[in-house]
Amino acid sequence: MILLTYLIGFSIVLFAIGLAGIAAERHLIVILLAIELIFVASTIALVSFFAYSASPDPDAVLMLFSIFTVAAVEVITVITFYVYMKKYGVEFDVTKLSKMKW
Amino acid sequence: MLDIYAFFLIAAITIISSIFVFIEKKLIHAVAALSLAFMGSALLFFLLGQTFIALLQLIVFVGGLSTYLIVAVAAEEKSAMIIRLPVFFILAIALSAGLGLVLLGYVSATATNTAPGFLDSATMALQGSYVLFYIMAVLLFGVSISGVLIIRKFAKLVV
Repeated sequence: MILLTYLIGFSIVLFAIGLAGIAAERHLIVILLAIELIFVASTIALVSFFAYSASPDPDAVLMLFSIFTVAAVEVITVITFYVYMKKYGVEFDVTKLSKMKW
Repeated sequence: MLDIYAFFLIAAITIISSIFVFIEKKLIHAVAALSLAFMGSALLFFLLGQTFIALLQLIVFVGGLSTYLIVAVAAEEKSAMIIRLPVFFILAIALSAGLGLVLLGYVSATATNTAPGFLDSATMALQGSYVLFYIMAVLLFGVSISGVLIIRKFAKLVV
């Protein structure tokens, strides 16, 4: 029997890896991929609480579908950024992207 | 007892591949590692008995988004498809073997038998509130399309 503690610990580890990636990485696309990892970690936490609950709340489905759709939209944004930054020769280093600052 | 070993194997593969997202130099390797992490999480959902959500994860994330990312990155980068053979292939073969074991019913978690499946809850939650989902889907579709258009319009101005 898999304990709920293991699952939540696994989810926290995955979340921490994603957060550390956002903090340490300079490549814009990899930062956005790290956000995808955080979405996966939150999905794992949600589904494990759902699976181990004696009377699970059906509204968890709404939250899960929201996570999925936001993750899908984020991937579209990643690809658009990647293609256009490659096309116009923009550096992917976020510390050099000074033209997008206000 | 077998399910604990399976869980730790899946968790180790997912964590290793999610670390590879950051330590790989080439973007295509990072994207391949991310798709392995997606596949590991889908396998974990199979192990937890949530078949519907695992299939959704496989179809949406592994089948759709990862393929889209890999194709987009491979189209732009030269010599992009040279993926480092040993690491990724060992991880992918291990994950596929695990997926086969779980799907064939050799490994299953026993803790989730009391809870209803995700599909039942989905049908319960969706009764009478389809409109909300349609609105949400149309809004997100519009947001993604308009995001593409905005980036396309402002890319020339920013550069």
